[in-house]
Parts: sequence; C-alpha cells; structure tokens
Amino acid sequence: MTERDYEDLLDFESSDRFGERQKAALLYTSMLVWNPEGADEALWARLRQHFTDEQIVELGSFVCLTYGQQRVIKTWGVGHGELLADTTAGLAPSKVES
Amino acid sequence: MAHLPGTAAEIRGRVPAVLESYEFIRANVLRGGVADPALKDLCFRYLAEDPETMDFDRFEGRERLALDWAHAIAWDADAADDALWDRLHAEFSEQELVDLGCAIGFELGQQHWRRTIGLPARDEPAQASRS
Repeated sequence: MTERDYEDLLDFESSDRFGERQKAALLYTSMLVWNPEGADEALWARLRQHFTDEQIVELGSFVCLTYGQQRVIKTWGVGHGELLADTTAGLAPSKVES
Repeated sequence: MAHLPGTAAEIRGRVPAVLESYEFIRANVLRGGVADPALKDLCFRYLAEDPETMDFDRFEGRERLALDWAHAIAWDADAADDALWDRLHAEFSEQELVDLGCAIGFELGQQHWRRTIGLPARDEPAQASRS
C-alpha cells in the first residue's frame, strides 16, 4: 500500500484506489469495530458476492483479534513500531526463518 | 437474526485454524493466565453491557480498577492516564496487567465479532462452557 492508499482508508467507499472486494472487506471491518448491529442483510449479501462463508469467518476473526489488541495497546501509550522494531519479536516463526 | 447458522463455536469450526486459535486464547488468557478469572469475567460482563456492572460506584479496589481500565480500553483510551496507571501498578503486578489487559482486548474483539454475526455478545451460562 502507498501513503495515498492510507489517506483514502477512512473514506474508502468513495475512493477509486480500492476494488469492490477490498471495499466489502473494509465495510465489514468498519461495522465490526464501530457498529456491529449495523451489519445488516445488505452488508452480508455484499460480502458473499466476494467471499465464501469460511473466508468471512476467517476475516472476521483476524479483524476482531487485531481490533481488540489495538485497543489495549492504545491504553499502553505505545505507538506502532516504537518497541522491538529492530527485532523479530511478534513475527511468525516462518517469517523469522525466512 | 444470525447471518451464519450455528453457535459461535460451530461458526468458528468452519475454519479449523480460527477455532484452534480461539480455543488457545480461551484456555490460556480468557480463562487461564495469572490474573483473577473472576475479575476478568466482571470486565467481560461490562463489555457486554450487563446492567449489574454499569454503575462503577458499586465496586471498589481491584474490581473498580479493572472496570476503569476495561472502560478505557473499550471506549476512551485517554482515560488510561498516569493517575489510572499509578493505581493499576499499585494493585497489580506487571504480569497481571499484561494478562488482564490482553484478556479484555481479546474479549472485546470477540464480542464485536459475535454481534456482527447477529449473535448475543456472550453465550448464556449453559452454552458458555461449550463455546
């Protein structure tokens, strides 16, 4: 992703930098974080245009893990990459080996 | 209405790696770990908006502290200021703080995921042991 992609993330629906599959995933993420009860039939129909149910389960699991831990880390007052950035801490074993 | 059929455990089970990772976290952090499990459960009930947990003035000591931190994690990270951290460090070891904080974060994410699917934030007690 480029810096412009990041800038467009908060207004992803109107951005031409993301495809429809990415937009569906981003809307799912937004609903999970900010408005879980707003995940209505329209959202699920849109998700199913691009993902299998198994992919939706896996994506949701990834987002909820990341979201919850980001919220904790925010109370620690630690910014991204501020701790152990020059180490392999936090990387999957396969990434460390490669 | 739920958007995927089955219990939370059955839905996770559609992707074995998802179920396996959740079961590991449940055993080692949500239920296990070094912090008091009853304290964790109190925080999880607050995240699920259990009416009996919403008035923090009913609680004191470690319970009140844990709820204050759970509130900061879920709603207002700025509330985790130096004063709150001083109180947390006075009552908990660093290991307990890591365990409790990560447990609150994991549970917060799981409850949001469940609500996105159309499930209640937490299982009824009879179901909880299975999911």
